[in-house]
Amino acid sequence: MISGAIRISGILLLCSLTWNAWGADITGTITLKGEPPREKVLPLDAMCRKTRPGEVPTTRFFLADKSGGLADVFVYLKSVPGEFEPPATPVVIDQVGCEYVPYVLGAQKGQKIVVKNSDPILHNVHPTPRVKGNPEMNLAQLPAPIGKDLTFVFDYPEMFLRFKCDVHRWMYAYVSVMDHPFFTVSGKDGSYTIKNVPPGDYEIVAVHRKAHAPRYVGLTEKVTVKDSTETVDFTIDITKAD
Amino acid sequence: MSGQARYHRPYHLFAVFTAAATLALIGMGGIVTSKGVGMSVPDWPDSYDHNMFMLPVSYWVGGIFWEHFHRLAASAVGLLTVGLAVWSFGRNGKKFLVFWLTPLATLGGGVCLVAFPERLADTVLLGGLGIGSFVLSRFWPRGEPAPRLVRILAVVAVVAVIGQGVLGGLRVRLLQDELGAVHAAVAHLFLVLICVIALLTSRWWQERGSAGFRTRLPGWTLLLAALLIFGQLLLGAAMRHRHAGLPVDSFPLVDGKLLPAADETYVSGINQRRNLAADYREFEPVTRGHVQLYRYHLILGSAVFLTVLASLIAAWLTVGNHWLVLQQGALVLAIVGQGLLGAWTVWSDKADAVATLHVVFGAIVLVWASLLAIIGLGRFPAAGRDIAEKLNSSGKWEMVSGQEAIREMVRDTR
Repeated sequence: MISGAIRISGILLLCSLTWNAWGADITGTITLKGEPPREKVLPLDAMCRKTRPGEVPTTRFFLADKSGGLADVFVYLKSVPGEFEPPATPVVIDQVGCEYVPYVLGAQKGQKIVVKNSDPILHNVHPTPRVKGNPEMNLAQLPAPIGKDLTFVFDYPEMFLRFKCDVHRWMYAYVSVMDHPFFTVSGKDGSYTIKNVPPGDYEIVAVHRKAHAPRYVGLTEKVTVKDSTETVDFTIDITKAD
Repeated sequence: MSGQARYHRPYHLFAVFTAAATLALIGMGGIVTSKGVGMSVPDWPDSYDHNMFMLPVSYWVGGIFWEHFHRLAASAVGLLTVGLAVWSFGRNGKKFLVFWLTPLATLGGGVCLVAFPERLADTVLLGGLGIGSFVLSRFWPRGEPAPRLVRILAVVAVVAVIGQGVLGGLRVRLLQDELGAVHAAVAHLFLVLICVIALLTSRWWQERGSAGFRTRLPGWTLLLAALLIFGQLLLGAAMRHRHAGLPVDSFPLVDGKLLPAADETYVSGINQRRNLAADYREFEPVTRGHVQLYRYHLILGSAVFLTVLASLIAAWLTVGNHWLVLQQGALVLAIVGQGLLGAWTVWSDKADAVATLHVVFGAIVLVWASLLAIIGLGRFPAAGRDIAEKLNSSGKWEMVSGQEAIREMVRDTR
């Protein structure tokens, strides 16, 4: 009986390892084409300015590096078959210097989204989902140590679900809620990697929150994943409407 | 409100003050919406788990300052309205203070102390209200009650102001933008109500109304204008409470047209332009419905102008050169000014101060048209139907029944 259980566990472990071994990464770079608008200076109030001495924080709409690599682009696989349990690890948004960090992120449906407040200032955290079933909430969050972390969970996929602070009207963060784990957000140089994608044919989508608003259709490419890393690059042309 | 003269200056001035406070409150509400900070205090009737009146000043930061100040100002207007209603009952108001407000507030404070000992601030406030009410009753004026109609309107105003407060609270608690638009609409109606009370208690109304004065202003046309202006305010409120900014970025022409096309091509284009504008306010995207609201707002604005202009011409032809007709002329100019403020709102890309000014001036224009309509319709002879006064043949005021005043007025008209 015990040996049978051990045998089954071994087979399951082997399957799990094999699954990971079968998975391959999709990587690439997002490049911005066209002149991005000049970012605007945030109208921080006196208390927020105190938390960022010497800084002149601006909006973060089109963060492109010198070579055009575009940050904060949400990249995901479309229509991945199967059911995926949400990870036990929460995604974390922090409030630092009266801004949400990160600005764009992804979470799996059912996954905990924890909002911290590292500022010595109170905020309110107000997610405003558009998809029915994802609850709108508005919660106060005092500065630490009185203020506790706030936890949110959304059960339906939604692109760029907005978190806002009404106390500081320039504070926004956008969480894309997916029904699978195959998504990521491009880094400062515009590069991205979606890890451990099972072999198969997919459509990969790159969506920028401003360039592709409000429908968020984005750019789509076909990709076939086998056993090695696939590269898919995107160019987002902001001179064209979505 | 002595028996001899119906005009009671302190009460009238109090009504005018309440109206001014209400207009200021609408302005504060306008700032809250323009700045998009209405939800910066997530709870109600508490504020950040404090009794609203005891919120520490250290909490008054960012958007909280405006929202909390709006709530406090609303409470002050509520108190003024209760005062207006109680005072309208003249010396009988003292009974309300002694036998109702004092015991109820004291009892409420006691219950709060027993049931919610942790909420000491509530107990203190209710107890203070009870004591204050009792002290006030000692110095309560012994005047006559206001005319019946004024008393009724004042009581309606109390119900309205309470309802309005609850509506504002529900908008916060239920997270419903639509309730915000209703809240704005009720605020304007409430302002008109208070201004009507101020009009009915004015010396001008008392003397002219009592003497059976008929202005012959085109009352129905003015009433239509007032209703159209209110419709304009509803459309404006619906646009503002979508939190989507403006669906146009130029005025008077949008893409070469007076009215923007409410189709997907236009909506896509305007959203694209806005997306590339790096606006930290991050408005909701423009929709076709939003564009339609804007189109209706322009069309109705034109209809308001034409209606007011028509009423001015009608009044000029009927009455001639009279200061009330000049008032109508001024109203026409005010409507033009309101239109220019709307244009400025677009040109300024919906700057907070300009958009708020547009709201406040809209409220003033609504009150203006409503009061002129009431004067024109002359539905309130003698400011009440129970007792009236009229000038007798020797030029002195004498008391007559309201029915008699109306009969004489009809006779004079014939």
